[in-house]
This record gives sequence, structure tokens and C-alpha cells, in this order.
Amino acid sequence: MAIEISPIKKETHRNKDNILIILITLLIISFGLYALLSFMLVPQKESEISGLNQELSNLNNDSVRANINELNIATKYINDFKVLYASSPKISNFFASFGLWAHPNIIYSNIKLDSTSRKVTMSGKTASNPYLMEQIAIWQEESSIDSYELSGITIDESGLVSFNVNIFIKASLLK
Amino acid sequence: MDTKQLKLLIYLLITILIFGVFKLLVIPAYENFQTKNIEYSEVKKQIETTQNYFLFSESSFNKLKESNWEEKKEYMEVNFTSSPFFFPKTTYFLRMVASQNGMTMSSITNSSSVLLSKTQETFKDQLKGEVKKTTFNFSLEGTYTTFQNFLSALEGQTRITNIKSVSVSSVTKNDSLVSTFKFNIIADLYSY
Repeated sequence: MAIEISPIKKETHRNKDNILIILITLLIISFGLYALLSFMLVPQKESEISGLNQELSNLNNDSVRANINELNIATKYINDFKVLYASSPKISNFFASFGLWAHPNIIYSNIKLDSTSRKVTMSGKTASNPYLMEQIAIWQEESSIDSYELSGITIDESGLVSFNVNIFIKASLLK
Repeated sequence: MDTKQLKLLIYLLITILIFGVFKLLVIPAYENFQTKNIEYSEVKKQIETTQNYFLFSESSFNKLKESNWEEKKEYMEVNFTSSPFFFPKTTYFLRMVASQNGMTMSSITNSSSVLLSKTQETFKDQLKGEVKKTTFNFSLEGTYTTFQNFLSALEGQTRITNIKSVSVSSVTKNDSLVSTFKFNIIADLYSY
């Protein structure tokens, strides 16, 4: 029996030594990992990041900044010019059109054009009523006129016809 | 305490030490490394985006230069400069256009400048700059034809003149066939 017990005792003792070796190895690996991460990999990454930041700041140089600044000015000017230009009515179109549809036998006076409301107020005088009828027919046919309002029509003893008119012109005429 | 117990205690202490090293040193160091990795990727991405943006800016700038921007800017700039001489300069400009087209300017007044986006809601989201408008009220005398020429000349200028209203009244009837009229004009002109 003594012969059987002795080898078992030796095996247990060796196992315990192995465990100790494994544990110490693990401990060394742990410290090694820590050292690798803290003293090699992280500083290396930090150095790479610093290099990239340097590259980034080099990209944004004076010349590039000047170009971008000029582009911003151009964008602002072109946009604002476009907006203001589009909102400015072409009044000359109305006066050119007026010369085409105004009846030659009617004298217009006190012409007032408001470009915001596109309303033209004026007074007219003509020697004969049929001229006014013709003028009304022209207004109805004229493509640049949206609508009109006639008022204050008077005919004196000599047949002279006076009237006031509000003409609403189409937006397209002032573009 | 016998040898066996002492050994067990040593094993236990080493095991605790291993866990301690992992918990207190290795894991925080690894997390720090991961953070640095993310930071690296972000900076790399930022560089790529910046490079693309600069390339696009450069190409746009070159196109702008090719389109003769400097000359165009000079023309446009008249609407977007703010100087203490804005009023005299604009008055001179209007007088000059009038006289070049055979009209005489009898009077001119102006309001103070106001920020356009504050007075007209429609412009609020459209304009990129702080555009101010100044309303000029002026009277011109001339024939119907000269007035038409004046309007066409004004509309052909790069200095934008937004004519709000025109009133026409007869001045005199000459012996000749040409009648002279008085034109009262209210117009907005712009500056930054």
C-alpha cells in the first residue's frame, strides 16, 4: 500500500507548482499588456493624431481661406443681386405698352402708377363718346391689362367726355 | 498555518492581483486606446471632408475666376457698399442718368436707410446680406420720349433702382408739338 500512496502525493505537489507558474505567468502577461497599451500603443496613436491635426491645420492655409472668403462674398452678392433685381419692376414696359393701347383721340392726364399694387390711375378727356367706347374695347382686348374701373364719366354741352380710370396691369408686364 | 494553507493563500493573493491589474490597469488602458482609435478615425474623416470641401471650393473659385468675377463684382458692388457718401453718390448717379437722357431733375430728397428684411417680410429668408433700402423722391422734367429713355437707361444699370411709383403731370404745352411733363418718382435704392 505504501508503494501506491507515494506517487499520488508527488503528482499533487507538481500540480500545485504548475498552478503557481500559470498564475505568475498570467500576472506577468497582465503587466505586459498594460505596458504595451500604456507605453506603446496609446502614445503611438496620440502621435498619429497629433500628426493628423497638424495636417488638418496645414490644409486650412491663408490662400484657401482667402478663396473661401471670396466665394462667400460672391454667393452673397449674386444671391442678393438676383433677389433685388427680380423684385424691381420694369416700369419702362408699362410706358411702352401705354403708347400702344392709349387711344390717339383721348388725352390722358394725372397719370399715377403704383408698381406695388400694379394700379394705374389717370384721367381722360375726349371730344366724342365713341372714342371712349373704342378705348374700352381696346382695354378689354389688351393682354397686359388685368382689369379696369371707370368712374366719374361726364359729358359737357359741347360733347367733351371726361372720365377717371383705374387700370390694373398684369404682373408679367413689369418683369 | 501549515505550508499547504500558506500556498493556498499565495495563490489567492496572486489571483486577486491578476484581477486587480486587469480591472485597474489593463481595462482602463484598453479603453483609453479605443478612445484614441475613435479620435484618430474622426480626425481622419475630418481631413477627408475638409479636403473634399477645399477641392470643391477651389474648383468653384476657379470657375468664378474664369467667369470674370472681378469685373462683375465691381458692377454689382455698387448696390452693396455702405459709405458716408452713399446719398451724394446716388443723387449724382440719378442726376447723371437724367441729364444723359435729356431730362432735368428739379428736386430730390431721400429717407434714411432702413434694413430691408425688417420692412419687407418677403425678403427675410431670401437675402444673405444686411441689405438696407433708401427711398428717394425726385422730380424730373422732360418729354414722354426722354422719360422712356430715362427709364430704360435706369433699368439697364447694375445699380438696382426699384421704382415704387410714378406720377405724370403736364407742365406746359409748347407751341411745338412736343409737350413737356413733370414726372414725380419714388424709388428705392440699396446698400449694405
